[in-house]
Amino acid sequence: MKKKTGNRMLGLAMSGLMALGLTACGNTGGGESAAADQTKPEETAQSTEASSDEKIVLDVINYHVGTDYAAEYYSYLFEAFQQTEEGKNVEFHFEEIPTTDAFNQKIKLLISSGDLPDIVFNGGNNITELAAKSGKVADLTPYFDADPEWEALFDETSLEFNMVDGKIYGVPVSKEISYIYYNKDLFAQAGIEAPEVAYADWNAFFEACDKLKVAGITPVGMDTADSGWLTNLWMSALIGTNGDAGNQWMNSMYPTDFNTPEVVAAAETVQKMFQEYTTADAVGGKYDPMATHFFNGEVAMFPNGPWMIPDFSETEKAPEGFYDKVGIMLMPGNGMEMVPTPGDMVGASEEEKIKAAVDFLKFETKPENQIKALEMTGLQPVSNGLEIPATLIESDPLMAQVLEIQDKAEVTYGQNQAYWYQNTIDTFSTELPELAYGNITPEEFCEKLSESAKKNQE
Amino acid sequence: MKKTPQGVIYAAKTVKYLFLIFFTLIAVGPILWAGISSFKTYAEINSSALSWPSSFNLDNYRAAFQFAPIARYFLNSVIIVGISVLVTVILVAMCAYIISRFRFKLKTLIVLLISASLMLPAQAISQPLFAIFQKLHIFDTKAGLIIVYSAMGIPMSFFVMVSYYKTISTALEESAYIDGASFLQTFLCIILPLAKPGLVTIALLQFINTWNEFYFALMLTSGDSARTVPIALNYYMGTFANNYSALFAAVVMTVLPTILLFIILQKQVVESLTAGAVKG
Repeated sequence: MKKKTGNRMLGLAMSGLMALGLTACGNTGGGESAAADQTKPEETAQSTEASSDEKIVLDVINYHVGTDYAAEYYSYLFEAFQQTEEGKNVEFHFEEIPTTDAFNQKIKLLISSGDLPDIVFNGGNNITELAAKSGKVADLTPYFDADPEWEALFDETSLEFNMVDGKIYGVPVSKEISYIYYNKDLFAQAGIEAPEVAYADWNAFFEACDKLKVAGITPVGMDTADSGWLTNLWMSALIGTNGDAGNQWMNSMYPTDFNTPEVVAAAETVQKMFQEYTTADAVGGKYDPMATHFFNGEVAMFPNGPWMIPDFSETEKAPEGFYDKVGIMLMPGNGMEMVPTPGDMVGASEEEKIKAAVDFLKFETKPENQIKALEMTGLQPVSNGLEIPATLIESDPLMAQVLEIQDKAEVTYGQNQAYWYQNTIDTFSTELPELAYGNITPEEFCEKLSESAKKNQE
Repeated sequence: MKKTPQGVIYAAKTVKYLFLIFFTLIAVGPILWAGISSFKTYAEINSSALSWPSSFNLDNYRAAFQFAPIARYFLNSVIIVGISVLVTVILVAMCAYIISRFRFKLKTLIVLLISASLMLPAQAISQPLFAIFQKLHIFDTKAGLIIVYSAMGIPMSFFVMVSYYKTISTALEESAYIDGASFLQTFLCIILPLAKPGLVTIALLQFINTWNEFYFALMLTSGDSARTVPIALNYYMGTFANNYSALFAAVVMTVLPTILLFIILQKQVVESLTAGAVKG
């Protein structure tokens, strides 16, 4: 009995020790938190507000950091805003989250917890609807109504894309477009003259591919990994330029029926392209090595958007002088992928902060900043008909050509990463190798995409 | 007895060494590859995965420090991971001993609860943790991450240690009690030294898991004061602009501690893994 009681007491003592361990841990944390708290948003806000009564502190989660293509531009933008009349009393408190994937993970948590930053960037995945329906972001319609000049900068499609239940929640800052880059030297080597704007149709395009092949040149860059970005652009173009039905399909959000004649035909062509016109490592390959093939002159044509242009003159990535070898053409049939982008939102709840955040978004979308973004990052202006500065034509003729050629697009369409369900995009990427190797037919490939998309409606 | 011909012995030795070299290459290959790639340029990395760098200079290592606050995050990792390993080992050493040696009410329930916590996905608990941490003012603090990492490490470590304690004969404790040792003396002076390989194993497992943990390090922090190395690695992977050269340099710098730790502690780990294998 005595032993039993002793054991119990020792058991209790050990539990006490365990609790002590936890408390010690808590104490360590307490000590730490005193230091760490200095960087907390609330505290920073208070201390800044205390130091200067009139300062408005805006919390921003910024994913344009590290090696992000727009890191330098956004750094400029925040600083430049603080030099303006509207921004002179604004201070930013940044949380840096590198990569849009990590950003999206965190922002979804913050939407559900209601702790959104004052300015909410839209990072790749469209979170506008999720944020608007949570009631945690501000309705910006009154601000647009009050400033018709600002509203006039955006076309109807871009604003509609950022509306939920008839209210504007996001301010679009750019447009996404893509087309074909080609290597002028390789075309000359194969004795082909590149079209001024685009090949008239896909037959003419594949005739050129055959000539390139005969000259020992791999015609196109493709991939399958990481959502199969390049193949997605080819496939979207094949569907989007295939008559009214194809174009309508490629412009619809969240399609669930992929067994249409246009999609099946596109899958069939993609299969052929994998088997005959691309590099051996395209199956299983991801964007970066495929881009390197293009930079190294191993592939003649590469689909992508204007954000790739700065890479052409970056000697870390491409050989010196590569920029001058690159030409631009639209997809066959004068087609171009063009989707409005999900815009930046305002998560602030106090009137003063909402106004300051809207002022920043107005500054971000000023025509001169849209041009600056184009020059520094390749982000396409959201406003139509902006004047291209002469300096840009001189300093970056390719970028100027992009602005010029996009007006010649007769057919525009979306692409899967903007319009398809996330799980369907994943299925596309995982089933592409099967399609490429001929393990499944184009019809089976489309069936798998349909099955995957329909799961979202169950 | 017929003597084995010399040729056969040499052949057997050759096969043995080839076998060993093959598996060593499989194990060491990726680390060597990352090490070599850390000296290559972006174009060299993407042109050929197996090529040799054109020159061995420290440019990529310099770039690694330029793009991300890697030194700060590294120090945070050392502090957070170090303390969480310590907390886990201390708690589990005591808790697993009690569970493995004593019968008491609610013992099954406690084991069940610990088992259940193994099945909780991080995403399912991130929202409540986020809210609780903000209420307790431990959001974006090292203490917050230490608590989460320690709690995450306890279940797995607990089962490893319970199994390990069961391999230690109870006769040793009985002898100690007969010799007049108290419960605490028996635990601290007899059991703990014998359980050293098990403790080293759980420490190592906890170290590896927490050193590489990304999700909570992202969700439960907002500034540089508590962020850890896995987040720093993301700085080299921006939208449309990955810097693989700097990434490999950063990877080499950040995996080195794990490798060094394993080399130092490998004897104990192997001992722990094989403990009980030859006991009847």
